[in-house]
Amino acid sequence: MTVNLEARGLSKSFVLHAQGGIRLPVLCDFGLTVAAGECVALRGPSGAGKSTVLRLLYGNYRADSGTLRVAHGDGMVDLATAPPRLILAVRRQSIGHVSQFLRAVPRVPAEEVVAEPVRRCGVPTAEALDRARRLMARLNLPERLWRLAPATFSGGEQQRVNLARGLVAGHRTLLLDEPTAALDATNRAVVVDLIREVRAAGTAVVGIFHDQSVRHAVADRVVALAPFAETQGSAGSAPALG
Amino acid sequence: MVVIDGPDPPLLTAAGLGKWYGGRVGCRNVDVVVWPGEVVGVVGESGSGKTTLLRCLAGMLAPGVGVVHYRTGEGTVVDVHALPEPRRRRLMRTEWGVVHQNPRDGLRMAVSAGANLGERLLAEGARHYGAVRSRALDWMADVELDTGRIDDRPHAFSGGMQQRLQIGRVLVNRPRLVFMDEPTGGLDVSVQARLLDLLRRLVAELDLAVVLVTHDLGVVRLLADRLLVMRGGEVVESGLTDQVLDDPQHGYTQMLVASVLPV
Ligand SMILES: Nc1ncnc2c1ncn2[C@@H]1O[C@H](COP(=O)(O)OP(=O)(O)OP(=O)(O)O)[C@@H](O)[C@H]1O
Ligand SMILES: [Mg+2]
Repeated sequence: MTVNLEARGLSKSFVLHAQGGIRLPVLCDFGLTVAAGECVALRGPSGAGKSTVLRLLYGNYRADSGTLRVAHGDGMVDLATAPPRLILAVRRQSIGHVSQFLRAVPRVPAEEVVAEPVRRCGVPTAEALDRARRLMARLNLPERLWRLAPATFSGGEQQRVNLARGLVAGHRTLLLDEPTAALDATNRAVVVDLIREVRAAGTAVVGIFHDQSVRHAVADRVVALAPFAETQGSAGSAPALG
Repeated sequence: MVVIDGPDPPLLTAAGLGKWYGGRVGCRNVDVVVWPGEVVGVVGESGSGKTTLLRCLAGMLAPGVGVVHYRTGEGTVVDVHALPEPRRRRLMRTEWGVVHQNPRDGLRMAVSAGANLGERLLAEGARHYGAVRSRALDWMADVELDTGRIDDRPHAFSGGMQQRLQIGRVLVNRPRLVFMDEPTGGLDVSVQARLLDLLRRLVAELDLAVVLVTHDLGVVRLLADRLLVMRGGEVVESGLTDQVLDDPQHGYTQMLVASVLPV
């Protein structure tokens, strides 16, 4: 078994300085190991910290403690201690994050938004665009939208652009934050197929899937997160079957 | 202090930089490292010391204390503030570039757009008029200016066009390190968006290292790999751009981030 991602003893709290330095604990001693080709679903009520876990795994949030090892090149990199340049290299080559909302760049056409992660790996523009377009077609994004900037797209269209951007580079670890939330049944089914395909190709996936049928269709395991108050003092979270 | 050596050496390092204006602090205790091809953003409110720091890094202002080291294209490491003035000038015209907030500070207003674009090429030793002219034309197009206006003086251009011309003028000979002070300041929002898009493209295509000063968090979100947050002349927080903006640790950074309307 090849481990693509291994988090140990992750703790995270937010200190809100503007509000009297109040401390908001979210995660305590969280652990997770994901093998190549495996898909783990995070589940829990709103505010339990699911998105926080994904952001920690991407190096977007800073862990208070713990290690966060991600397969990169021939080895593993601990994103909790890696310098910024190394984190950026890991993101370029090895780990992708599909956030819940697309952060649109003004004026940049959808196809270039999608192609960018591939281009950053050094793939020539034409080939990168080609891969981007194929994925957009697969996600039923009408061709007339490809040259337009996504700022004016509908929620579901933006989500598909975001997904295409996240999937296009073929990272070996993928973090998906509610990738089907704004999609209709047809497109949900496309996304389920795509996730199954990348898994079959050896990608490790950690996702938040509100839709139970999607979760059942793509995940081998479910990890339940409880709001911090309920887990305080205990192990923090326990793997469960869903 | 980071040493400029080893297999993957930085381009610029500054250690312990401090600058006082009379009794007032411009900046102090600042350490900066810039690696090749990396965009380092410097943010903070007005008066926080951003421009002072930039000017000290770029050799335009002598710091009270501290050193700035730069690794030249030939691989030698130089102490920027100890360089004889002509050498520093030459460095600024060849390997470095400075993009000013006000394009009038960076352009020569009395000569044509084409002459502005050609100046650094000529300073580098280009002698063939036709070749300089054709590179200037290429750059007009590259910074999205109408090539038919190459003989116009910058006066005839709008603020956004002047800024694009200034950027072309600086990048024309592919500098290794560019200092930018509020490059999108003072422009309309739509003009800013276009300029940002242009900068994003050029930074990636030319693999530029950039030190970018701005008070606009949206600008660094789009352009910077790493951020330094300054307050009262000091760096209070630094790190990966999205980490600093999405999970700010320092009270001042939290305040800055919270003060921005979400877009
Ligand atoms: N950058 C931040 N600064 C301060 N608090 C934060 C930040 N990000 C998340 N939190 C807090 O952490 C807790 C967990 O949030 P998170 O977004 O991880 O929940 P979630 O499980 O993904 O919820 P949902 O199902 O609603 O998306 C919440 O109380 C949230 O307010
Ligand atoms: Mg969430």
